[in-house]
Amino acid sequence: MPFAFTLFLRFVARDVRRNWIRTLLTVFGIALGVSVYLAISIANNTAISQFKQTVSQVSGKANIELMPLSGPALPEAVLDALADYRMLGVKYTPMIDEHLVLAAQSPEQNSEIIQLIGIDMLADPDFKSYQSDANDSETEDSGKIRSEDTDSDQDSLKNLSVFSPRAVLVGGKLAQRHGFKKGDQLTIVVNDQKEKLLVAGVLGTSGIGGAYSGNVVVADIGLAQDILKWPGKVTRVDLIAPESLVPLLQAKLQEIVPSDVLVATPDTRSEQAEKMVRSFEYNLLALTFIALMVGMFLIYNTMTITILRRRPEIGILRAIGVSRRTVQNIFLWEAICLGLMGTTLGVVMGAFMADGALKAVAQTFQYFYFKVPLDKITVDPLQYAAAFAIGMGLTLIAALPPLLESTTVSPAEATRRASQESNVRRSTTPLFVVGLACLALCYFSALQPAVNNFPLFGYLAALLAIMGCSFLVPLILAKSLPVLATIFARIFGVEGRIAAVSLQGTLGRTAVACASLMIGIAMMISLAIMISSFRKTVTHWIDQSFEADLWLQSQARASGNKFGRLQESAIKAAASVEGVAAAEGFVDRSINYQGMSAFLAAADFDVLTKYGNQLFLSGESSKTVCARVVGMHAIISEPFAVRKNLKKGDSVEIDTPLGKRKFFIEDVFYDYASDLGYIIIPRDIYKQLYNDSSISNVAIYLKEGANIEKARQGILKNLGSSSLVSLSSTSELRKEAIRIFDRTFAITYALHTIAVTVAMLSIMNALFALTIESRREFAILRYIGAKKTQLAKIVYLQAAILGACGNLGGIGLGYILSLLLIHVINKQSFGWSVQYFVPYDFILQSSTLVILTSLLSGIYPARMAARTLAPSVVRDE
Amino acid sequence: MVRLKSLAFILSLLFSMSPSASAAQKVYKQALPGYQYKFPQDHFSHDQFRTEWWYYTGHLITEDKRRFGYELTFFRTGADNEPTNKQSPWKLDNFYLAHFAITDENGKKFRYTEKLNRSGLKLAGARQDAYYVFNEGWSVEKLGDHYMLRADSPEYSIHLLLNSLKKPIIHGRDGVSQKASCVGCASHYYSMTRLKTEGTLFIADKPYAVTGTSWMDHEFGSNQLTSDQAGWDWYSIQLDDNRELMFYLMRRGDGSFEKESSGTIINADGSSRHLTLNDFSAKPTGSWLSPKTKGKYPMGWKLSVPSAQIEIELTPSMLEQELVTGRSTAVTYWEGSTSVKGTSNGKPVTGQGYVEMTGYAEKFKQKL
Repeated sequence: MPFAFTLFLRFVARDVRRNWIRTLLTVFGIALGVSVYLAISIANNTAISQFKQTVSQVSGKANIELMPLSGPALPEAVLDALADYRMLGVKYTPMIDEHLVLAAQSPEQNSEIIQLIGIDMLADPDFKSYQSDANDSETEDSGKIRSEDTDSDQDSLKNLSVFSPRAVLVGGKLAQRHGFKKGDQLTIVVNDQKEKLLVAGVLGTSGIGGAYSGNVVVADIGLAQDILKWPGKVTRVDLIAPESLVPLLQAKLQEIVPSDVLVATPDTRSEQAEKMVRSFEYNLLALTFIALMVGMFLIYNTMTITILRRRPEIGILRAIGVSRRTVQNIFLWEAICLGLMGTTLGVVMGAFMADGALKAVAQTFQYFYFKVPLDKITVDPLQYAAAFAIGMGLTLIAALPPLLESTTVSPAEATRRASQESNVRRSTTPLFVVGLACLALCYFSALQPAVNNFPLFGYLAALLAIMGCSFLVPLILAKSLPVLATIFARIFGVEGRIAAVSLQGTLGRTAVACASLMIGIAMMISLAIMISSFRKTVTHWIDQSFEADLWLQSQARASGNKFGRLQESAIKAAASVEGVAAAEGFVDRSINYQGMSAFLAAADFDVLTKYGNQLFLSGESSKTVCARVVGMHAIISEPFAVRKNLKKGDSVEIDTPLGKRKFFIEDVFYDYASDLGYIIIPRDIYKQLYNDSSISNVAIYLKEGANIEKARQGILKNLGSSSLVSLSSTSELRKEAIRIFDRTFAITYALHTIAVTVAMLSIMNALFALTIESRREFAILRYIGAKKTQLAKIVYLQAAILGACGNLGGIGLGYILSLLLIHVINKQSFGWSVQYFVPYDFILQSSTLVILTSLLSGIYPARMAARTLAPSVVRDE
Repeated sequence: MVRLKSLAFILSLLFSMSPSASAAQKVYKQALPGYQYKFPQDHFSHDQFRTEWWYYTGHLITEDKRRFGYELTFFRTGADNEPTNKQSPWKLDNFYLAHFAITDENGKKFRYTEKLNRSGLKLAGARQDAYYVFNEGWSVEKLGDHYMLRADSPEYSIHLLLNSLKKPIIHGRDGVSQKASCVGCASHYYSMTRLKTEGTLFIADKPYAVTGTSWMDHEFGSNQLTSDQAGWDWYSIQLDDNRELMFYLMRRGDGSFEKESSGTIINADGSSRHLTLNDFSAKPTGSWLSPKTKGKYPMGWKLSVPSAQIEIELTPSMLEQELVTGRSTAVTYWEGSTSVKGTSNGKPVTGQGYVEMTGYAEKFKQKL
């Protein structure tokens, strides 16, 4: 339709170009929302897809897996039960897949966590090759474990193979980073000991060599057991069964394996991983939706104002016979153009930001959930498509009301312009009622429980709060602007009055601008409140519950291997030092509780009773609760209680190597160390059930007045110099805990910054719009004798009013959102009780910033206003 | 025998472990002259020697006259070091490997599979107190006077019952089959050269009754090969006049034959005579370039043993009978069924044979 196209170019494109600053702001607002969404969703997706990729690289073509429920490993004796199934064409192989601490190989380096994969080097190649090179099927199996032969003429090197004593294959990435080659030694830290391994070869990137991005050490399974001190234990057993037999076999095997072994499909692990990180991911995504929503408001704002401003022109178009549909279409095209520009820019920016987003969340994923390398984003075209669709979709949704508005313009309106504003004024009260209804629904929604541990209603409540508050804005402005006019008249004279009244006169646009400003600010405020509340809570918790004076753990654990252990004798070694009042052993292991990862821990409750200070939900003292935890009693952490819907007095049944065991829940303790949750049982019971006397760490309590440094020396001396341990004071530990906290919230800080940026953008956009819209008024004012400085003053005052109103509204909405975030969304997602804490200093600073930005954003419009020439505009009037 | 050798050498390379102070090195018995064979005990596994194999090749014919060749081999190779943890099922003391190949002579199809296991999981083993060698579902065992062979692969399976028509033939001199001039560079090596064979051949899971003749080699030693040997040609021939011939030529890097290359002629009555390199000549009549490995193999031979009045020509039943055993032994070799035609004792004779050739494709690489 060439006419419509010409019309679009003349009528819309020219206008868009002429108001390029505002167009730019709008486009950038959309772009920012889309880019943040895309970056975060790419980061999230990378974590999960890396996990899946690792599963497939390590597990090969397995279609059934045996997984341990009661700890990190299962007894290899289950293999005996599988032998009978060979006749059915079932192949199986056990596997070890566990963290390993690679010691600093030189003084400049740090120790790092790598993955140790133990496989049966003689097993069927089906288990080992996965990413086979399609063009090279004949050498497929040799390709997957390919040792690069170095040019070694020495016989000793030639004879070195994975079957040589303590010889391992090293992943390409790892070898590259450290310059490992065949025949080299590499030093690892296992528990509290340093050990040496021999490099038998460097792996290529296909198959297992590519797992964990090549940060692997692959050993024959016997050696892997030796390295980990896991005699007779494996992480997993992979099976390849004929596809038709899988369901049957799965059921049959579940009957014959020990009760703490789960027979599952390989997808199960990925599903569990997805479940585990879902809360964290959705939480991040939800924050990005706020950014998108502000983007939507920018569009809405721009489109609404455009259409309001151009009502007379639309009227003319209609009068000369242009149909409603054509009018609507040309504005639709404007929205599409804005959306396309913003979304495209957003997708490009998002692609660039994704790396940063991944870096910000990588350590959190790795620390709390699973250790897969997250050094490179996984590009999934679908994500880009989704971001694009969301950007365009939201743009069009936001543009819809103004578009519908455009069709209501009748030809007769060509000469009138007051009607629209009076419409708005008439609808302020109904809007207000809708707003109240939204807020009521929000309240109701906030009280609803989580759906499958997902705070669906919490997010809904947040949305309702944003909508509700936005609908309240017009009436509040309508009522307060006249009051403000009187006050301003007194303070700033006539300019003050005009500023307020003029805003009142263009209530529709003012309300939209104010609401978008409010949302941006609310996002910023609510995140600030959430972060500071969290930080305060965690700091308080650390101060309260880290009662011991010194903490002892193996170097492997200190280096990040959660399963680095110490001998039980370390407790005695510590306790017997002069000045030490008591030493408490603590051990934890990851278990699978009802299809979810969790931690089972064991503590010496007799020592805890005397010296510990856990904070319990019941409010009872640590002493009384701990004294009751004997025998088959346990305490559980709050996140665990929330996720599993358990409370004091319930019981929790866990799978142990000796079968299922039920523990009575004495109480629920506050814990912010893991959102997966802890069950803590008495250590004597743990030792019996798990046949494991090793410990993860020792909490050491000193006698009154004892010298901490002396005690430290004494403990280290008792342990002997061959034992590599980390012995930190509580203050060091607290610092470390805070560091981890800050790292976890790094991405939130980043989003916070973006929220501030978006909020400022919306101020600028709103002011631009308003000023441009007010040109007519300014012209009249000039005509009737207003000075340039007076006009500028009016603009600045309007900016201040808008900034202040948006800020006030933003603080109010931010408060509501922060309540929802802390008490509903986070509580239901992670199970953490967070004490509400308002960072007044931040709110004060941000308010100042908002007003300042408002005023600064007024500079250009003020100049524009001052430049307004009277006759050019007034002719119309 | 040659075949054994080549693989043995490779195996010893493949699974050798560099000497290390922390692990005690295993000491193996050497194959030395004076060895006294005793049957059936010498069918059993000899774990005191490093390397050992049981090798079956044979020619089968179905009731509808389709001809097949088969190879089923079990290898054992000992590790260099004593296992550090003797209790662990993952301990590395012996590796067990096996190859199974079928040549469909009419359909011109050649298929092979391989297995590799350790004994700890009871997935493979060779008993020292009975003739029972197995690798997963493949096995050979002695039941009374019969030997039972089983091997399965996706396309072909064999369940065969073998009965030796002659007593075991001991190769070499004074109980050793010398492979090079050095002391202990030898193996103990005997064969059952004419095994009456019957059983079932499964083709795509469909059973076919088969009959035929098989050949069995059993060899064990610790140090047969030297590094300057480039490869081996091995011939086993069953003539229709009830004589058999075995000969191996060990090729040195410079193209010459190791002077210890030797063979055995077995007479119809079961008596046998040692043959030296001078007694034997083999002239290739053609060659074949393997499309898979680019190895260039001689193909077709004129064999002559003047002292036994044998002049025969060997024709492979098909060209592509090459095994690339990346997974187990990591060696590429050609092992194929051949038909035999010529004269024996001045009379026209036919027969069948198996030929093994190694060292023609790329030099085996350490793959694991």
